[in-house]
Amino acid sequence: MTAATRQKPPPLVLESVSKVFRSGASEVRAVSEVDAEVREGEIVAIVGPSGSGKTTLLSMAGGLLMPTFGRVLVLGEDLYRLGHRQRAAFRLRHIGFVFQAFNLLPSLDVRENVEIALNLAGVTRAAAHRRAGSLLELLQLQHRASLRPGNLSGGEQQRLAIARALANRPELILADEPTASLDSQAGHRVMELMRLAVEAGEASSLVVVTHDVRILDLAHRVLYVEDGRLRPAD
Amino acid sequence: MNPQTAGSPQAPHPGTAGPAKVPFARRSLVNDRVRLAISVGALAFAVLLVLLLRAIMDGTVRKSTSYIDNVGADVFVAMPGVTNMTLAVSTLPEEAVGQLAAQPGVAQAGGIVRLNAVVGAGDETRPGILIGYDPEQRLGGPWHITAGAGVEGPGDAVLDTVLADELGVELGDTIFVAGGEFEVAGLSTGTASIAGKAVFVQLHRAQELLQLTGIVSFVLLRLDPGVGAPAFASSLAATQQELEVMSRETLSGNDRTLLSRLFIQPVNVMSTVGFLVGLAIVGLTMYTTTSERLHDFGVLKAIGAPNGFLFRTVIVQALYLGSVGFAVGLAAVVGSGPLIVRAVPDIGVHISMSSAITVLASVLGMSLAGAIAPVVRILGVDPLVVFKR
Repeated sequence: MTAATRQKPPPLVLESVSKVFRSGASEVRAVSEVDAEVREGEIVAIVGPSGSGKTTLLSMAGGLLMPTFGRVLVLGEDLYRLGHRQRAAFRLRHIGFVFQAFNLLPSLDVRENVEIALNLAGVTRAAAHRRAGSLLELLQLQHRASLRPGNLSGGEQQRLAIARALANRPELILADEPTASLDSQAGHRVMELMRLAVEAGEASSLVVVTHDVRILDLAHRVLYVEDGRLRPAD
Repeated sequence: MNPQTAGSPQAPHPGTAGPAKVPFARRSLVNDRVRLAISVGALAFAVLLVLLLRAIMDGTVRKSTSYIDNVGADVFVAMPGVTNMTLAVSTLPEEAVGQLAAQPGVAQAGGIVRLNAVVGAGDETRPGILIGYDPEQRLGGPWHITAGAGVEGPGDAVLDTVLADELGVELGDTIFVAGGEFEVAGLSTGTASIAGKAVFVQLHRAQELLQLTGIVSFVLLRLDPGVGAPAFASSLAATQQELEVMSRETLSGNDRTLLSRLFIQPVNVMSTVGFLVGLAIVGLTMYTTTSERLHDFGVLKAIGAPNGFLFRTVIVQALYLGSVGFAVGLAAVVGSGPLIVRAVPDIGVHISMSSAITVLASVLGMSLAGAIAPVVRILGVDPLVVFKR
């Protein structure tokens, strides 16, 4: 066995991925023939105008939207060859999501919002409690652990969303406009924490869909989407 | 910040399921406390409706046999074919009392005349049960006199206190029963039921008024210590074909069964109504609670929660709602029981274990039925809702 074959598969590979939305006789090609690879330790920013297909691309990369054509490989696993249940389990263990709207669970407190992701993955109660505590410390939310998300500032809510995304040490974090709802200071802090999390090995890679030009400085690579097609940014 | 400090030394191991963890189902349900309180209250009302009806039926039926249960007889003897005391007419020759008293194992025997009768005092009249007994035998008369004395003379009567209140009479007042005039010599308790309120008089006076001279309705037997009533009753019945011989438990059971049959249909109708009301409440609550939390379920789906978790969440919520609603409803029945009996002394309120278990099972069943629509809705949630801004 050579060193190359022993190498871990990349966190994300998109192979000729396309998405066509059909409505009656009309059809819209939201994403067209996209090829891309995200390597371990890499932070990739995807930019582009509104309606260019960024979020559709992210949805397909995260196993939430089946491409019309092409393959999505996460850690070498063809996501859409997995059954619905297996894909959900795979997502839970290997992919973390950070959304613009935070999408926290308002009935749970801060710590529980992190613990639930661990619980769902089958981590024991004690281990989940420890891991959640560590992540809250990492994201400087330990003093807010017993509050409900509604009592947090926007920046704190997004840090909590990051903590949840990191909970199971995913190989791939997909973030959709994570700073769009935050002021510049909070947005910068959030991005800095995400970068540090990748560097610390809490997640292997990060793909960020954004309009925020400040994020581009933190990314190792910037890709540009226009009319559903992906190309390296100028 | 030191990122290296984050987490346990080893990565979490998926698949090693532990005990119950973040109580998402409960937290999600109690998040809106006002809605929860309304739902629990409405469900408790449905439980109250169903359980109280059954409790009243059971309590009233039990109370209707209080004479049989408390009069002090171990065995009751009636004419052949008569297996009830309530709603039944029995006639036996009075000589049977002496013959039965001579049976081995019998400590005491007493004949009674028992018939429904109208009791009047002044302008008031009420239905009652005239019981004639022989005070010398000390068997067949009131067992708990709260005021006055027993029946000492042919013109004396002991009245149930509830009946006395209804008629507005006190000790020393005059009442009329079956065309005879009596003075209220005593008041008894525990002798009122849906079947009627007792008026105790001397046996021979009752026979005279009812033109039943030489006739008794039932013969009551108290057995010697150590003599088992069921065995004695079987043995006596085998030798005395012209008599119906029953232990206290048998006669009491027969009467309760008879009265239950009279009540059961309307109670079942009302129980069904209560069940349907409860089902609608649980279904509506679960549906609205779920609808308001659809986004949360979408988020959970997006991060990888299996459908089984979402399914369990709704089921747990439904069972939680059903259990709390049942507990509150049960408490309401327990609390309201004494008030009901005080207001309507004829009836009783008794929550039997079997009724409570049946209603609990029904409530949990309707909770699960009410969860079907929410489960279907949740399973159809598109996880892409997470990208809506």
